[in-house]
Amino acid sequence: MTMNNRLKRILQGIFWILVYLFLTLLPVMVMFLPPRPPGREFIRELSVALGFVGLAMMALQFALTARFKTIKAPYGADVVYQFHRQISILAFVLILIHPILLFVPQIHPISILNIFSPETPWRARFAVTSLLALCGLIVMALWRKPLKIEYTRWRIWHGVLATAAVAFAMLHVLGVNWYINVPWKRLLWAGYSIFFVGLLLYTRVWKPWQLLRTPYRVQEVKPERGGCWSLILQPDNHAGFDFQPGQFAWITAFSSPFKDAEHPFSFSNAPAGDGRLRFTIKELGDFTRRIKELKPGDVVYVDGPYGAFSIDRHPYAKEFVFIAGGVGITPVVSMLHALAQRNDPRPLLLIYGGRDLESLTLRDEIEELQGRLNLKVVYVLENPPEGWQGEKGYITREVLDRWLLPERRKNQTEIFICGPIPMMNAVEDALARMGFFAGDVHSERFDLV
Amino acid sequence: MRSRLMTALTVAIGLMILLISLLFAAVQSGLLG
Repeated sequence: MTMNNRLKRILQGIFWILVYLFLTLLPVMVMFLPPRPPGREFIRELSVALGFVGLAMMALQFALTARFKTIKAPYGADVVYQFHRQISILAFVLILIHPILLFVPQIHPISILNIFSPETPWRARFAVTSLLALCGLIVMALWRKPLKIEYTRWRIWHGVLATAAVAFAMLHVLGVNWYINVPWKRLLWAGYSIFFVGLLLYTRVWKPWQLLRTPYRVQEVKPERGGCWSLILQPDNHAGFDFQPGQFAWITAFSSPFKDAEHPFSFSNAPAGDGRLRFTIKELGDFTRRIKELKPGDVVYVDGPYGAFSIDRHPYAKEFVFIAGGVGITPVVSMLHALAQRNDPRPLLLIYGGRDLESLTLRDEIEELQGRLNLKVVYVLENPPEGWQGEKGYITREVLDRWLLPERRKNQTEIFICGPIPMMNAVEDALARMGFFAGDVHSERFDLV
Repeated sequence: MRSRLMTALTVAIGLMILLISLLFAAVQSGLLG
């Protein structure tokens, strides 16, 4: 990548972080502006400030997950989701501190939490309901898998609880009516509410409606090595979209796009020019196990493309290294196909880890691509066949040391990693210790929740 | 690496929020200014 491109992306990244900070702190900044209501105890004012910031952060969470391509472009979609996840814990802590600060010095009696008591004002009932929704939201998001909540059901509840948490918190602010004492300050909160409702309409109505108008038809469902299925889709009476190799899309099958039952998968083909898409999907959960039930002609909806995990973002690289584990090979195969299509002469190295030779998904395609590219492939097998001379076990620092030669230089070799999370963490750490510049290492994480 | 950067960013945002909120509370309660 040229320094200009990199600088531009860094500046874009910083810009959106500053916008986020500004919108988060805007309520407190507005509270500072006169006319201010009379001052009260320090602890109460601190509690109010944290509550307002927490609410702004909750409302902004909807913007982070609304799939605005301009916001996600500098970072990649998985980074934005990771931020969404981490920052939600911060927002939760701030919102939790808000009532605690009011109860500890007994500014309000703890009995106000009893929403069924006739003495409890509505503003407190709204606050308690919002907090309960938020607690449910956090518990379900952090422990979805141990609680055995199916992904599609979880997504529906996540949306319902998040909407309830923000809506009831807004009602609480209106009910307290302290820092919204003048019309223009009320206008700010009306603005936040409109923004929030607008985002809901955009994600729940506008986007699904767009998807409904641009359906795809299943052309073929093909079994692949390693318990995977390749799903080939053709746009149905529209041009489809162009994508960069390595990117991904959200797929809705067996259901309407209004039902919010999407799943993210990488493209495993190169952009074909005719809108045709291929996804290679491993049977891992309830949805993925049903992929094989799709028949030619069935309707599927595709929202994409997303992601920053692509060779096309680094056109000036001198060489590319791909490190993949299991089904993490799919975006890599997409990039290899694109490089072959373009007769790209640059040296390429693929380190591909898997259980055994037979279960390496898309291995036959990779071997065919080897003939068309300047590509060296290193398989790392957990259970190698008898007499295997290649790498064994996992993709460790030792394996990387043997294949990633020290003369590979900063800003010239771009490294792409995709696979199971423990493998990606280990490889990222090993590459950092080997002296690879973090900006040259790119990873795609699909374990979003 | 990226996870650590993200955690650092979240902590930095948290600290900034805390600082501004403390400042607001101090001014509004009359402790400052």
